[in-house]
Amino acid sequence: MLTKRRKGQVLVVAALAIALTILTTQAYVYELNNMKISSEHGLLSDYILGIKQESRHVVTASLVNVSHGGAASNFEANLERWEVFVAGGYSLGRCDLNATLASSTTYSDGIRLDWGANGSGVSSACADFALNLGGRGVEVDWGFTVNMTSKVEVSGSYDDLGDDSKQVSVSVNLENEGASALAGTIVLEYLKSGSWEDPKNLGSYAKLDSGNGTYRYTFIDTIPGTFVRVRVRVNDLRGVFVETETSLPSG
Amino acid sequence: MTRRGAVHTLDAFLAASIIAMALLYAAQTPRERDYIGEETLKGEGMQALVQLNGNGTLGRLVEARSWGELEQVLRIALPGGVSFNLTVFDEFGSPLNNVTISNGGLVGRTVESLEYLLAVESGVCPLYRVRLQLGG
Repeated sequence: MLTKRRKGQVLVVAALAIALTILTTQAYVYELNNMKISSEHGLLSDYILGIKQESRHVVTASLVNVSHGGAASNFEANLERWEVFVAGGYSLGRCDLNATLASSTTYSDGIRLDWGANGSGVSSACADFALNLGGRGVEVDWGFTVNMTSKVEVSGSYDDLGDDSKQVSVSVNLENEGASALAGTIVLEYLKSGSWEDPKNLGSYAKLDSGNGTYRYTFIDTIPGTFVRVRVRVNDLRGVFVETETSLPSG
Repeated sequence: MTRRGAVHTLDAFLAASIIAMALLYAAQTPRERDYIGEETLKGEGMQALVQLNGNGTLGRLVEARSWGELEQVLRIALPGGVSFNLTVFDEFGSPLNNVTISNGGLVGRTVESLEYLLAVESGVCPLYRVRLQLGG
């Protein structure tokens, strides 16, 4: 009678043991997968992030080259080199990167150099990228656009001091990708009697760097005419060149 | 006799319920991972290189062949206790650094290696392959 009663208890204890084994095994497998997948996922994410980051550098380097007088075709050549380099640099399978140059009314072969005479100058390079990674259970298809743009805007006015003597105030604002950016070098010139002059040679010259991409200049000189023509040439910290001209009215 | 049979039935039912509940719970274990786990040496190395070249620092140091400065930057960027050895190759696979870029040789139970492709923001757009070996 006692043995038969214990049979039931043994059955329940055995069931508990089996349940515990199932749960422990499940927890172990889960934890093992979690660690393996998380580290591989993180590494792959960083690799892809690195490809995107370096693609931006390739576009920027091309813009530096073209904005300093290099051929626009250098952009496409650099992208082709980068595509080949990336394809050969992935050791875990297949990695295809395809770049397409932006083509629109404002871009030609992915490049826009709009150094207008209206106080606004733009140097820009743009390309669309398609990244395809495959192998070892990984399949990634990802597209991204890289648009690197340096833009300079010039504005200002002058105060007439009499006898063609003018006190000129100029404001220069630089942007990278739409955000205020610091300049590497800025060359400001004004047109006087048909030749471009450097205001630094004047005793009245003053420059204020606001530290946020805005630069203000003042100077006094005898400049004939009803407006003052100024030209600004900028190299941003990346080395991208951009310039613009404008006519400053009487303030 | 009838009561004993009923007790056995209850025991069997209880045992079956326990196993069924265990199976049910195991099946409900989430398939989604939170991706927060132990970082591997490779992962730490890749993160360090990506961050270092976020503003082009790595590229500038390689372009200037500033191997000593590059070593110092890596010492700061990599976690303490991780040993490293860095080799820089040009676009065509030739090694560039004529000195060892390391914090004293690879030490540790595990040694892992990774490669990072580097583009420098200069006019001719130089491309480099950086091989980072890590020990820890």
